[in-house]
Amino acid sequence: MEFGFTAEQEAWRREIQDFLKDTPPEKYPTQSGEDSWGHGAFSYEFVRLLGQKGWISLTWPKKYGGSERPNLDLMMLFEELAWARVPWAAGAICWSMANMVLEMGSEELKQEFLPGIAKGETILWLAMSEPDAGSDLLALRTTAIEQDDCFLVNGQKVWSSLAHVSDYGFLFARTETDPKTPKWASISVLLLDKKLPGVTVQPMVSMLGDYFHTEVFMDNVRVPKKFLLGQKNQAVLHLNKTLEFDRFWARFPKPRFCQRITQDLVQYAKETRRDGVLLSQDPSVRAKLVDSAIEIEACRQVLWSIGWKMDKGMPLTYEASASKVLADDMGLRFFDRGMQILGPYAYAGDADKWASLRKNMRRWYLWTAGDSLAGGTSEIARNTVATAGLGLPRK
Amino acid sequence: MDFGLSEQQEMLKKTARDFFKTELPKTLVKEIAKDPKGYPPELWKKMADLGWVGLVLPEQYGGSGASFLDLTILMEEMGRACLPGPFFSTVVLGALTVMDLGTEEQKKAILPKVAKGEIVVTMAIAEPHAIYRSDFFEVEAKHVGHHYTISGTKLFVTDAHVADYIIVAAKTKGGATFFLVDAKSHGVSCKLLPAMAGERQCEVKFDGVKLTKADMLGGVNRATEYLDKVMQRAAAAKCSEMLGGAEQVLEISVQYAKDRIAFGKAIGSYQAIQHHCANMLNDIDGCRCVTRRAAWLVSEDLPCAMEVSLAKAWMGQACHRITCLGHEIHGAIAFQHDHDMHLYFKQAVVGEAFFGTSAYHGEVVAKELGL
Amino acid sequence: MDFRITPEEEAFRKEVKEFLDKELPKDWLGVDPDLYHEDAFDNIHEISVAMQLKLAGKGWLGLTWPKKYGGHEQPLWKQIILEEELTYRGSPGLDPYQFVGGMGDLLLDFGSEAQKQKYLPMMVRGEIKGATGMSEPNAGSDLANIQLKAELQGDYFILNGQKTWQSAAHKADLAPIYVRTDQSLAKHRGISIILVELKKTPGITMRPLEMMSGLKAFNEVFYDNVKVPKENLLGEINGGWKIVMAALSHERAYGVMLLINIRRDIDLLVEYCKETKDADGVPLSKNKLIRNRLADVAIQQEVARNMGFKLNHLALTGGNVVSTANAVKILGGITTQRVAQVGMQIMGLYGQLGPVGGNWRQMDPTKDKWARLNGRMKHLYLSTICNTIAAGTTEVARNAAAGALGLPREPKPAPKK
Repeated sequence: MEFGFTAEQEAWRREIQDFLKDTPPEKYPTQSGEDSWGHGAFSYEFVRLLGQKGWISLTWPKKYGGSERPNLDLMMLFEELAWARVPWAAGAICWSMANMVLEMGSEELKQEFLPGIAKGETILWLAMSEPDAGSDLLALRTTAIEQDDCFLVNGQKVWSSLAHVSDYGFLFARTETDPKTPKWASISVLLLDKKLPGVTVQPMVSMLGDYFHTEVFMDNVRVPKKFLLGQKNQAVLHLNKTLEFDRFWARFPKPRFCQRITQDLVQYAKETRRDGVLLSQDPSVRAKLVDSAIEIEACRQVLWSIGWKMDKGMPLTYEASASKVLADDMGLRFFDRGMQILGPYAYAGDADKWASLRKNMRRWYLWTAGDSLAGGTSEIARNTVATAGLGLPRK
Repeated sequence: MDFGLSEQQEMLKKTARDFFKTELPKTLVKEIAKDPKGYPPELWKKMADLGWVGLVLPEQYGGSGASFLDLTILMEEMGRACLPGPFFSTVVLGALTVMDLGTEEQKKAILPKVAKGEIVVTMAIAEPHAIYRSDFFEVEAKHVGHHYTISGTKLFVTDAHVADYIIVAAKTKGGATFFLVDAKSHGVSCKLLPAMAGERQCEVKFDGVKLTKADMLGGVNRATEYLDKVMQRAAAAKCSEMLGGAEQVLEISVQYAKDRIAFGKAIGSYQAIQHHCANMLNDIDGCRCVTRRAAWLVSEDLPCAMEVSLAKAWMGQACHRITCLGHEIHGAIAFQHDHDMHLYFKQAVVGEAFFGTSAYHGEVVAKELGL
Repeated sequence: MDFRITPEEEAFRKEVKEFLDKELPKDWLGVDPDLYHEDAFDNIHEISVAMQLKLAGKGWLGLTWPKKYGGHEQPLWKQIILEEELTYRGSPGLDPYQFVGGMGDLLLDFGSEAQKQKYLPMMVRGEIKGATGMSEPNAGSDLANIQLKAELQGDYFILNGQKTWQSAAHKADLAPIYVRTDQSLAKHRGISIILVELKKTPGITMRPLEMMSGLKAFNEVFYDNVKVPKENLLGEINGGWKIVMAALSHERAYGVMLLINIRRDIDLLVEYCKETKDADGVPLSKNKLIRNRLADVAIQQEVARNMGFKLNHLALTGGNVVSTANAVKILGGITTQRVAQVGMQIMGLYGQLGPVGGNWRQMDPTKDKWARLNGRMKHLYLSTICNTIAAGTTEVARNAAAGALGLPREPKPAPKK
């Protein structure tokens, strides 16, 4: 057992921190949402910077331009970027899809796509959910019918994060429509070029007033056959892994991000008086900050332990779902406490030192409510923890 | 970063689990709960023979020289088994302190006997104000000539009534000092408190107990800062016991959910029950991580104030949630004394109360946060 | 809508309060309303029996029942006030199995004339204690699964089988026992209710069950060829399920009682915090965190209590109480557990100390020197665990609440072949 980092790992951490000091994320323009990790922000320029450093392809095989670094290094990178509130939402989402290309793609596809993804110049979006296929993904209706020279795609995707700033969709579609075929044996993944005729991307404005998610309509889109990932009708076998990546990696930085915000809140409490008393001396504010710090750290440790298990190649059953539930439950409580600490001043419009914290806290409070549903609802996730993790009967 | 156990730790865990499964059925645990002594001497002897009582003591004193971390792995199994008795007091509070602070003479007098399971040691810290801090001590060791005279009342002293030695943390001029007191000394009286679980806690009265400098452990005023270390070790070890208990609660609850039929189905098929189980598992994963990290840091003698307090605060609240859910899943049957669930429910209460509640440790975390 | 109290209500409440001031021992701290203390301790049971007779003497038992059966035909609001005051003071004597929507109401609704004439006047006079025989080892939430057999042979039913969780059974005179009279019908269609005079009927063996709080207030009850006159059948043979439904809906009072009872504990905690100083000499009541936590549970109790008012109003105006009673029961259970948790947090190390059952009279300081608040919080913590389980688990209750909202039920499993 060992809870420290090696000298090499600490050097890696310093390298990341130095980079962030030299290229402060705040200085880069964002194309979507406003500042901070994951909660909507995406900066094309910053993702390219990460690509230039070779950090997007950190864990890939050297053959495809990667550095074959272990998962733990990637986890450290994610945490440092989260702490610095780097706007790389799209980059994060890209990670899991890039790994699927590595795993499922033909040699041709790998050679065509991976270099661009590694540089941060090719951005993928996850085209998965549909109006009638959220938690019940197997109910999806978008079809991709094989023709002589292409797959003919018709359908609609919803909640496609950042499709409007992405290049290719990681499209889950039904390639077998015979009703006798079980649903799980009829779905494929295609890489969908957004520029193809028939593809329309429309904004979905979230309750934050942000433009992060999109609806994507596909009307007789002709996707060349070479963009089929892996074997036809076999995508569901790989589905679990994608979702695993999505759930785990998407949530992995969340505790560290929340720790950064906790630090900001501590500072805020030390500088703000209410009824003449410093908030930092108010027992109920202290309790909220302490409870947050404890829960966030416990959550963070569990996610590290899961990442470690993945790194060791240990078989995982429920861990991805657990990481989603833990991080999202934690987020709901944390941002609620954050709002309570700010109190009515959460809505104050003053242009002072804490204006950004206040404005963002309102956003994060709304966003975290959505997180609980994203990547599968927490209810379904809990079902998976119970059935896959504890062997309780499935329905 | 490595969350795994070593091969020896895995083996220690397995051996302990098998041992307690045969040697400590819950019927025995409940019998002992009624016995004022609070522990079965035959079982104590067996654990000593297995080398467990002396696990962390240096080999020269009859121990195995294992690490504190190894000890906590063993204590996870003790918590899982609801082991009653003075293991915690003797090893964590007593022997480890003597190991650190004792003179060679003191170590030779105490440690080999501890390893052989021949004596019980404990420590008296809290007083009626129920605070584990030396600046609040009223029990005083007055220096008169060549003697020190201790008077006052210590409370919540575990296993004092069966102890051979009680390490007393008393106020001295300029701080606090440890005294290694023979429990049979004139002026020492112990009375059992009406406590909750199998844990035996005492009121210990010191009525002009006469001691000399030779009875000091670590020298004058050494307890002032060493007490922090005792508290951290005790908190980490307590978390380990609680962790083992929590894991057992999850196991028996899941098994019950699979076995119990209502309305024609196993109750584990209903989503409400599945979510309870999932929530327990998620909580326990958090418990395991923070507890093991705290234990590792203590074991490595690294700075650990934040991590230990974080773990203890977390465990108190998490084990409350977990044991409540365990009861909820079991329904009425676990409300019976006959059932085992309440042993863990009560163990969680004792765990939260001892060596700093969540509120106490929360304050430590607050300070570490800079508040 | 009107939240004012009428002068009559105020006067009756005052009368009950003065009665309790006079009749309860001066140092009375209170017992819980679910009979656990009364049945577990003989000395409390004696006080309970005596109190029951005093209540009868005031004409307060069978308050709402027809005069024909010895009742007093008083308005329901008086019954409600009586229950509330006795519960808040933790007074024994008002048997929930008889009066708080229990056996008495069942007799009135379903009993034969002979049964009503026989038993109701005795209840009004305070001469008998009740119990109820519903649960079995495999019939808890799934009550329709009861197996205790009752075969009609000539003029008698012969009962064979086992009940469990019968609180008060070892002290009770009379109990409606839920039995299976027809094995061939679907589960809930073959159920009947038979009134059994527990003390007078041979063949009944009781095994006390110790609860995790240390109290022995429940029993396993074994029926071995027990002969009960057929006249003791309540309602129709195999018509028991509708009586079950009626009995469960009468449990309206359970949640409210839990809430009123726990108010006493909140008030005790507040007093404790005002009187107890921390290590710096400051009363605990000045600690903002403690204030917040006490305020939180007090608010929760008040909100639930108000739902209880609504429930009473529905009962008074003949409205459907079932789903509101369900909701109050859920909230009541959770609130009591929250209070116990906050109490333990405030007590810290002292929360562990105290005699079994806590003290219901001011403790003798020479005997219980260190048990603060009379060990009440420890007992509360250990006993409130069952409040989200007893009389229907919270999970099943929430399913029922969802059903009341119109949500679809979970699909039933296919019948086994």
